[in-house]
Amino acid sequence: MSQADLTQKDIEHIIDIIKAASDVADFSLKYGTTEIHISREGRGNGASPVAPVLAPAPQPPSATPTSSSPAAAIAAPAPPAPQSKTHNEVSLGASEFTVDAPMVGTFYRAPAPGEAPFVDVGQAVEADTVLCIIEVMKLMNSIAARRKGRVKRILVEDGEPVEFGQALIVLEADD
Amino acid sequence: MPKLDTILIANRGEIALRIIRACRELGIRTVLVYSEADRDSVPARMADRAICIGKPAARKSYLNAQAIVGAAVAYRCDAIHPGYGFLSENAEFAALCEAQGVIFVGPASQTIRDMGDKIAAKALAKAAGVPTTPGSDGAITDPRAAETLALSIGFPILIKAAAGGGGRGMRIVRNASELAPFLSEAMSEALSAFGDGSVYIEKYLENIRHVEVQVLGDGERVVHLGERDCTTQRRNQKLLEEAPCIFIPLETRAALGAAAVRLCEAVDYRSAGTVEFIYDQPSKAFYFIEMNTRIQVEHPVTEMITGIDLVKEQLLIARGEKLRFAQSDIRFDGHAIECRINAEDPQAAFAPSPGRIDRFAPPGGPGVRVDSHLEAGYTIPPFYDSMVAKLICWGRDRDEARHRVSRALGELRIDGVTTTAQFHQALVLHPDFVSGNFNTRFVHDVLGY
Repeated sequence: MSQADLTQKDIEHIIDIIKAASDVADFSLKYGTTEIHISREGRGNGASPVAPVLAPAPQPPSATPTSSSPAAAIAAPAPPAPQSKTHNEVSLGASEFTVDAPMVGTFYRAPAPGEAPFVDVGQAVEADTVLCIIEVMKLMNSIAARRKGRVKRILVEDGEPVEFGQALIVLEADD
Repeated sequence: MPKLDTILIANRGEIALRIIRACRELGIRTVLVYSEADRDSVPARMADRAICIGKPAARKSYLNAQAIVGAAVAYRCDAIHPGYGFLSENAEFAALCEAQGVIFVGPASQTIRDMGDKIAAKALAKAAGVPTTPGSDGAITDPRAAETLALSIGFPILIKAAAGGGGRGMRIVRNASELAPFLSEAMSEALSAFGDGSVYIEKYLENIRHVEVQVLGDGERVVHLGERDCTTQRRNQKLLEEAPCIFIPLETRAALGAAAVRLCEAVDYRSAGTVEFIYDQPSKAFYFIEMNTRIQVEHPVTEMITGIDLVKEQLLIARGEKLRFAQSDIRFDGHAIECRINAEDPQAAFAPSPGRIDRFAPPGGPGVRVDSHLEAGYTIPPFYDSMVAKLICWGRDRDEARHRVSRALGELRIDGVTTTAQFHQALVLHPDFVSGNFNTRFVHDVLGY
């Protein structure tokens, strides 16, 4: 019997409910291949008391560590991006491709605060069009498309830190 | 006091895990930076946050100072712990942290610079009244001056080319009659090989132990946590360490500790550090070699006999706290031995043996500690060093610790790669190791490796 999996929306909805319930210290749910574990046992440095950890349920034979790992139990969210410990895989359409961060740093969509962003969704870009900048210790690195296309999605919020290899922007090939 | 809520760990393997554990006990949030080769590693999973910083090659990741400090700034980390190896003793890296307002968990960049320069460090030691290996404190070009110096040091002496390495222009002189011919040979060889005939002269010590003293300083006060015996080496690579060194007289060990403290006080040392000495067994004299301005691989043996968590103390000092103990508060209890289990094949000249771990079963029971990042299914990447586990055993005395090591090695299972575990088993049972009758050449000369 195969159960329908929870969608991302379902999961977010569940987390919202648990977040709102102040008297829940620990919450675990296993549904299909999804396992949710929410714990308030963190050190609570003020950022947010809830650290949701989402992980696929163990699938034999390669068991993925889930709620039992100590990291999951007390992972307090980072000041910026609290959603997951490492960046996620991006699902792409047939003609889509990503522009990835060539370095770790802070992502900016515009050349300076208050200025118009380099690009917007729907915009056509050339290979040498600058899409964003990554700042590393006040050094601004322009990130170009490197391939002609059209901006489909921008995956990172302005001012968010990004890691090496993280997908930043989805483009669609324009041929 | 500076804020230290979030720390970036700029290392991998067991030491990354070690630092995460200390941070967790102190309530410090951990951000681990990792290379693409370490994405699926225990430390990356254990850290509160893991960030990829680059390609597997160390210079693209763990040696990339810009990327690491940049990550600390972007991810709002208050401090960076460098672990050992990689950038841990890089003065420029520490200076970059200082410039960016990120706490470097270690001494001031200037201290790293001073201690990293062998000649400067030796001069500092001399000035602090710490014995250094007798010899020329610089290059000698005049054969007559060389002769005078050699006679004052006493034989045997070592002559080596000031400009080079690789054994060229190097001579061991065992008596006065050899001095003049060997000196002229060494000088002309140095001149033809390096275009510079000047040489260094120092006392040649053959029957030595490698002994080091663990220190902790807060920038004002320094205490030592006793010595470690690291005599069991192969090609200058430590294989087994123990504490205390019971084969050196108690008063000499006290003098070693005091000398290490004097040197560190002279530089207002901050953080954990290790002062390395050689101990000449025939003359019972010790000489300063160098100082390591970082946490060391073998720090757990000291932790086991003092009950002091060195990494935690490093973090507290980094946060601006003063030392929590005076010298008289440091108590030593029992004996500890650490075996470095490497993925290497002792039968093939210790060639690295990376690969996939099919099974990892660490030993347990009383007095046994295993610091390791292994797990079944883990693939040891070929890009970094081959140490995969540290087995540390405590006993009430050396014999109990030794038997525990032997017992624990028997329990240890690492399937899938060849390791040095069997080598250690033979080592701790060898009669010379048992009696203490060995020196730094033991593994080569006696065991034949």
